[in-house]
Amino acid sequence: MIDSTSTISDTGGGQGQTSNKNINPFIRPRILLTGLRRSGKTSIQRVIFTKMQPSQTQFLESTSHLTLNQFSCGSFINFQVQELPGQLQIYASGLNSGNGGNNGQASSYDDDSMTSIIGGNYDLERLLKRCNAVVYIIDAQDDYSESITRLNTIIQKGRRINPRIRYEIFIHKVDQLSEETKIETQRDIHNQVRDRFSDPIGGMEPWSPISPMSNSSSPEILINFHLTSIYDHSIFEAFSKVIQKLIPEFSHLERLLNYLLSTSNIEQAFLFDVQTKISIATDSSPTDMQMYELCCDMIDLLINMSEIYGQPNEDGSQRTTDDDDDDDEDYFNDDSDHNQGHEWNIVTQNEEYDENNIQLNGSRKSSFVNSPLGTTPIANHQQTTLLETTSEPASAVFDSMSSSVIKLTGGRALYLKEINRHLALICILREEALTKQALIDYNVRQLKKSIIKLFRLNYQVSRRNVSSSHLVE
Amino acid sequence: MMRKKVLLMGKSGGGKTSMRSIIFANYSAKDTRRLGATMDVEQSYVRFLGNLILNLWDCGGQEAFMECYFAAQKDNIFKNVEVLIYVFDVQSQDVDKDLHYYQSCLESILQHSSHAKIFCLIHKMDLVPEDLRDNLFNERQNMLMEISRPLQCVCFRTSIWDETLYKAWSQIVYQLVPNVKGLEKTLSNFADIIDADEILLFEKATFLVISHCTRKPHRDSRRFEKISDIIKQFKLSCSKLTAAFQSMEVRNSTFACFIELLTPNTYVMVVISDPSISSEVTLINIRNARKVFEKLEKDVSRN
Repeated sequence: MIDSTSTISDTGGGQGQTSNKNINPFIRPRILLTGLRRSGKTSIQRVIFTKMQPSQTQFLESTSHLTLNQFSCGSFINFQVQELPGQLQIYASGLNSGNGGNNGQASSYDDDSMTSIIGGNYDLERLLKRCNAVVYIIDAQDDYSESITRLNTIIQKGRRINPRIRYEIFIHKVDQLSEETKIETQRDIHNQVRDRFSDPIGGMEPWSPISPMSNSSSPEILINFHLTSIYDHSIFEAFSKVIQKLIPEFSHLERLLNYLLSTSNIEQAFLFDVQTKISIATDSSPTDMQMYELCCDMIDLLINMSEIYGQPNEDGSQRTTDDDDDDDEDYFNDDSDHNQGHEWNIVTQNEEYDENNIQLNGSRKSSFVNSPLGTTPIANHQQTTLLETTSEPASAVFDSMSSSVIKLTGGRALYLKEINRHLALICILREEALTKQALIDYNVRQLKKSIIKLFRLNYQVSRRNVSSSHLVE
Repeated sequence: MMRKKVLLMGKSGGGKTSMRSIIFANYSAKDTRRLGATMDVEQSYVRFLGNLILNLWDCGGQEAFMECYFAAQKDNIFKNVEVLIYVFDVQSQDVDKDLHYYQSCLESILQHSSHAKIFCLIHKMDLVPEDLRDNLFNERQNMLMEISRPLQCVCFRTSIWDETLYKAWSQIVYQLVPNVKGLEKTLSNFADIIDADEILLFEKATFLVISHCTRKPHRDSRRFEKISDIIKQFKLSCSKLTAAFQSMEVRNSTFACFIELLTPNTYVMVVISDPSISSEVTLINIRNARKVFEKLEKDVSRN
């Protein structure tokens, strides 16, 4: 529950709600998710974060507002996804602030998009300034030239404003394409993006305030391409890679997993966020897509079976079997109590949001208190800015004793163990190694402690830095 | 060896081959899009529980074939039928025609194998809005039971996209399993001895539940089909890695669940809610139970 209150808080701040809820001192990586209209931005989020069936996404309406989703699943995934609606023109206001954000323009979009964009703070520069990664979705089944033009505009801008942004290009909806076309499309898009880049005039729009000078001195731009589809695991895998790059602890986690591998005769190890099936870390050996899929399916199996047989007992006689990880939740409590004054760079941002959002947050909070499983994201279309929060425990049936062992033919086995209530460790190993399962159990317990310690350390460090440092600059 | 003839009939495009492929050939629901129309009759033999062989007659449903089944091929098709599965497409535009063929079918059955068990599947239920499903199903069920007289039919609503398919087929094969009573009794003994909440017995290849013993009431009456579905899904993803599912253990603080091979033809699933019983103990218990169940299976095939 601590997690949930913490995420809610950072948007409620600055409006008199700050007093006791701003307990989230984590640096929260920000991802700007954008692309042309109907490219699949909302669908991707729904499929990953709210477990929507891919087939159901065709009924989603197009997004007309800038939406802000906060995810603080577990200790490491702690990020914000900003979804910039595709049909809005990118409008370079040039002014970064002082637009007078919140004078209720809830219904004004259709008549004059330009003014409302300024009014609604859909200001690309400001968004770029604050984000760590841009995920740009290109519909591969469509003519993507317009999409690329827009992408190039964003990159041009981003390079000037915030050169450290990573660009993750999702060449999306590739499920209907043949392998050959996939590669061809990727190469084509890759070339087009690169080409426009080397030419400082090429990607510029007439209204762009970028001066040609700014291009020459820029450092190299980080662009990655992913072929994705919501109908298979590729979207999860691509998103995992995006997240992994943004997680500051990634290299430490990788090292811990490597260490586990070498001590326990394990072939591969993944650390998964159970709810989203995003893999936040793996060992450093190369992983193949199929193994990743199998791990995802193992999580499904575990959760589905647990939901049938492992529901917390209704008669209240729930066994308290929590053993070694009680402390990892407690310290969080302690610290948060005297952490109220802390407010990181979010404060500035709060002023932009509608007053209504405060109520939204308030009600969200109470709903958490009442039911820890309230997974339905807030979606109030009346508001100019949508806020959705996903931070509840992965599942009520995923608890400190959750574990699973699956044996396959060919002597391979899968081993799953809970790390905290959001994270699961999945190992792939030979069946022979399982004869010493007690040893593996012990090692995994040690790993679990280390991960929790790492989490705690990061928590303390970021707390210390929070008052002085800002996320982006 | 026991052979049992199962007729699968219904209008063309109704989904007969799709469901057969999912249940018996490990297709995923998505894979069935690749299937073409069935020409004439496609016979297949499915080894079920080792000593039982299901002889599946998948009868193509185009009108020309249908007419032929009731005329020239009549004897051949309707002789010695143990089970007739008639598939109705819930979205069919021409219900009268469907019923007409169903009736002709029943007449032939009555003539040639009057003891056959009849199942009607109201298929493609996923295409009906959820709130209308109950009513629609009840309506069709009543109509079919009326029409089927003097024969008895059992109706199921099914869709290849959810677990209802497994429910229907579990019940169908349950009728075919030899010595079900003996199996159930042994299972309940076993459950008492190891203090299990629930034990399910699956047929190995299809993962259909063929027998179960429940010692602790459970709120979810659809859990068996769900489990078949869950495991089947996982088996499919294992097969992508050219590995096959062998055994499984899943637990949290309130339960532990084991799926292990029991006899060469069955898997057993044991659910235990006492966390103080360690995995090894249960696994040894399952291993010991194997002999009993193997003997039971052998006895059946000898008789």
